[in-house]
Amino acid sequence: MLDFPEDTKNEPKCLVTHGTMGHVNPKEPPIKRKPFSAILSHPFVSKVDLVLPEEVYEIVKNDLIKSLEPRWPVFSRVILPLSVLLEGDFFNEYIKRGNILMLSEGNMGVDNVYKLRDGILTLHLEKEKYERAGLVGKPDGLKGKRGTKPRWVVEINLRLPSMLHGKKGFDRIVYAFKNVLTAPVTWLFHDLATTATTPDPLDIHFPTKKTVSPVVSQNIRASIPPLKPTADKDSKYDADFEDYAVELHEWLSLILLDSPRVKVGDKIDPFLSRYALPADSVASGGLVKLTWQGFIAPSWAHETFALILPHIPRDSWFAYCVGGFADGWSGETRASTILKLPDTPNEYVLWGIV
Amino acid sequence: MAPQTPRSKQTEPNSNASRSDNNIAVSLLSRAHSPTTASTIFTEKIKTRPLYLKPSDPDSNTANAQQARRRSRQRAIESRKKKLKPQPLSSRQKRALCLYDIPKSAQKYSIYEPLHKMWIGYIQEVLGEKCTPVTAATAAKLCSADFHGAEVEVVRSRCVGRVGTKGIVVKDSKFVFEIVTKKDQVKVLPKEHTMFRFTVPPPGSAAEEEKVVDLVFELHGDQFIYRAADRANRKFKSHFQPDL
Repeated sequence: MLDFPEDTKNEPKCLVTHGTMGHVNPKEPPIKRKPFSAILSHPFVSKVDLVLPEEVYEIVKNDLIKSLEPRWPVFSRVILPLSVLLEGDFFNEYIKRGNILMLSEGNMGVDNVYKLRDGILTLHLEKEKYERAGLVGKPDGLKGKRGTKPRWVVEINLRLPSMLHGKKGFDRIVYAFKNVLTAPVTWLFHDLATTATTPDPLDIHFPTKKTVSPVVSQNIRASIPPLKPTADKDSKYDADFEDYAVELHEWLSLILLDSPRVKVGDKIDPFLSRYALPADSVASGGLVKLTWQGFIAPSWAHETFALILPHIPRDSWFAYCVGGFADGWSGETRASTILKLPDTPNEYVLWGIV
Repeated sequence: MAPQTPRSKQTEPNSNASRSDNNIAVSLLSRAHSPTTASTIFTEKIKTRPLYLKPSDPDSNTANAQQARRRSRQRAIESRKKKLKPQPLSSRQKRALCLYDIPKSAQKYSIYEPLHKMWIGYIQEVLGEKCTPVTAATAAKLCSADFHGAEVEVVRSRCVGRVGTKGIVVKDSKFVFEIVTKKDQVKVLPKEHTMFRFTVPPPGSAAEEEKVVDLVFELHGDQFIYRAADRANRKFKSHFQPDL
């Protein structure tokens, strides 16, 4: 009767890891080890946040900005039909030879959304378009209760040697893009190649180029709870660690939201908000938040994290949050938050929402 | 029905004890029960019940021999008649003999191109001179038309591998269209969960070659699962299709 969810199997989960990073070479950051692998597991990144104590920021400001500034991520917004992807220079330069990231407009699970990553084109299609397009795919979303209108996801690896004009399978794709999926859509475009190709095959489609420079919000006077996990001598973490992880993640999220609930001297009627800080003994301090928002490659977020790491004094803390684009109709996203713990050289806590 | 033969013995109860003793049932009952119980059981449960016997066979050898002979004669005549008129082949036999299969030599697109031209002329005739606003009447005519020779293309199907197949219809059976494609292949296209598209050039388009737009029709295969012969006189109703 009541519409309670039956189980939590298909709902997003938050996995928490507490560990040490070990030695990190900023030239060649590890890719398989946590927490680095968590950043790279995002398909696309929409937002990167860096939260620092104010005094640390004052120390590292100049060095950090100087080392990061030549690397501000660049992306473009462009309106293209799907068929352009398979034509001439665009196909050869960007998909076969180069490496680009592309994401089309629309809500996942509602509209037809197209993604391109590592040469793999993923089409999330509603039933009618899928049946008309004639490209073989898999059912999208939850297996059960898809009703009469299931959605479908088609994956095409455009880098395969068989993906050439004139081949049978490729002609089917051309047919679909020419006859069915013809509507031009707005794409976000990011070229992973370091050197730009000249002439740029994208230029004839009049892209709007954007550079993502960070928004720095300073003077956040916030109440800071103790950031270190309670020292349990147990080999297994018990409920204490869970409480710590949940409460600290909530606090960090409120910082990222610029919520007044975590500001110093905040008074709110408990009728409106029942939020309480994780611990009684809170210190007050200034925080600085740097936010990059745009269409960012996960590799950029990964390298930036490795670059920031040696700049920060070893005994101070910082938090690095990477958020993706909305994954479902309700707007749930993948996100990973890495908190480097204070007073220890290499310890970290990683929250990964998958 | 078996004839009723009421018990001949013991017609009058309590008249004679010695006669009731003669009855086999009484003697059997008296072995197990006391004489009073045996007699009550006999009177209540056995005496008034009829006893069914098998009827004896009528004497077939003498009285009905003539009838039997006559019957056998008639049977023989009937079987001879059956043998004279050949039975139609069953579906299984037809399949085994490959009767309706198109031989390899006839699977040529070029063979059916004239048929397609004839079909265009036929369908233009069906549609009439002024066909541009397609009314319900013309749609009904189209539904009952013959589709042998039409060039159809699959535009939507639940089996997505079939989408894009195009060819001339060579056989229109209840559940499938068989088509010959440009590459001289015969393909069997089920009508279920499939939409077909066919185009008809408007009549007289051959003369004036400018500004003529082909009429494009889409055919819902789901609603078209009838034999061609049944379709001719059929009144089409629109059915709800939940998975459209």
